[in-house]
Amino acid sequence: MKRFFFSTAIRNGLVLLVAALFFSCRSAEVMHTPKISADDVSETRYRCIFFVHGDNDYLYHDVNGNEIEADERLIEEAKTLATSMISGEVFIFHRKPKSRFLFLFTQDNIEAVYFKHGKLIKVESYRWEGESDRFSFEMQFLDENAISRYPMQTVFGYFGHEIPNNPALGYDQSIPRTRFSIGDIQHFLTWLNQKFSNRINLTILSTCYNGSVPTIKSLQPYTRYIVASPENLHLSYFSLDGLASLEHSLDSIPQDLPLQFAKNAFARLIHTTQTAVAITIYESDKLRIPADPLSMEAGIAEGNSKPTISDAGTYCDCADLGLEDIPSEGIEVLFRPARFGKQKSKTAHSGWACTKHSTPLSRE
Amino acid sequence: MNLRKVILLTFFTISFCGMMRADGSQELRKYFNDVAIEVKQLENPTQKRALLNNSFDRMKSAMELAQQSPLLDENDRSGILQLQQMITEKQNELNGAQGFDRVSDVELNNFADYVVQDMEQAQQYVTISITALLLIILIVILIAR
Repeated sequence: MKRFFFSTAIRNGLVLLVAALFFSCRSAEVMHTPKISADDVSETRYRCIFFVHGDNDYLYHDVNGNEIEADERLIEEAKTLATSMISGEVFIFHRKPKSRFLFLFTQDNIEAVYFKHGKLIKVESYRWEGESDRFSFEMQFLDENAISRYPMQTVFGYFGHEIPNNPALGYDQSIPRTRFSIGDIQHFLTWLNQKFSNRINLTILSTCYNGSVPTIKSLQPYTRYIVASPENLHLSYFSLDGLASLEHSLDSIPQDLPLQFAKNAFARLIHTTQTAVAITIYESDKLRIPADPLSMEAGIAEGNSKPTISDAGTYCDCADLGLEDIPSEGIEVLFRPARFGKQKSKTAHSGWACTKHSTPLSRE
Repeated sequence: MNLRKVILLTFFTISFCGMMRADGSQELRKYFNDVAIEVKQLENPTQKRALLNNSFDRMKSAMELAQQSPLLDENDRSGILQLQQMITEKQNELNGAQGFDRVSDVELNNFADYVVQDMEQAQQYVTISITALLLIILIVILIAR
């Protein structure tokens, strides 16, 4: 009888465990009560939101030969920064590869971490396999936890591979059937603007080649400043150190934050890399972008020159294509050419990435 | 089948099975990274330059052989060709050929880092199947023997 009872208990326990693994797609660990008090509201002056993509190949080697997973390193850097942000709140979302427990049960692949006033408040994970909007969990998490103070200064950062301008498959290596594009980021920023009745102060795109006309034009309405690279950005990413100045500013976001952030990121990159480094600060309200961004994409559209890998894939500096009307107002460019290679004598960069096409582009 | 062939086949099978678990592209990055580590450990610039030249030659030969494999399709061949061109360009710069300024002796360590970083960045934009990458690495290993 006793044996029967014991085995029943084990069986029930196993059933519960399996049920939990099957049906729960969201789990939370609360470190501190996330209740929002009047003090919280008055003491919180800014908000940082970081999206870190890790569901792809992000391995690189540092100058000492160590293997580094770029996303893991960035997460650590963001958490360290968050603990020093006493007057702000920080949200870190890490999108990881889909994996299975015991080859059977799909595990959560998005981790959300919430810091407030330098303290870790909440860690929550979620399972996403492409069935809902890409950032629906992130929106829900922000909706539930973010302090709604008007106006609150906001910094948004995206860290990952180049964000495609048109919906593309394969960005998420473990869920290759899902599509991703700058439209998804635009959708999220629209929601963010509406949710907090406030335009984002600074958007950071720590990705390759997103310093392009189509990308900047897509995000321009939702953010005052954008910092992005028009070059092949090294996976060591932009340093987050420049954001520490948020804490030292007495009231709102300092005017020179985008430039300070970019300078800091530039300094680290030129110190650790031998390849080209280009970072552009785009001031949205001063930019005059052509109505037809495709004209900036066309490049050598007539097909006289076939792109080769020597030209860094199909990308190049728009100035190298001899295009007219490259937007120059409202941008500041930090550039250091590659220390070796064909382009080592290049002295300046237009701050815009262009795409070379061997066949003319269609305007549908 | 003579003893040499048996040993070679065994080595090939073990290596292949082992590497199937790893990502081929990571192996390629590891190759250039290992070379950079070795270059930095050497004192003599002539030896550094020779090591870099050998590593380029070995990789180019492996890619040449891999391209002849019936296992690869046109995309693979085109991707390999792009990587080969990149490596040739780097070797030209190392030796001051084809209009490049020769990399100076004091810059050889930085140049080795440049090769690692540039190849890592290129691999994000060059499409080569895992089969092709593994084949290249296996040939590199066999050439080195």
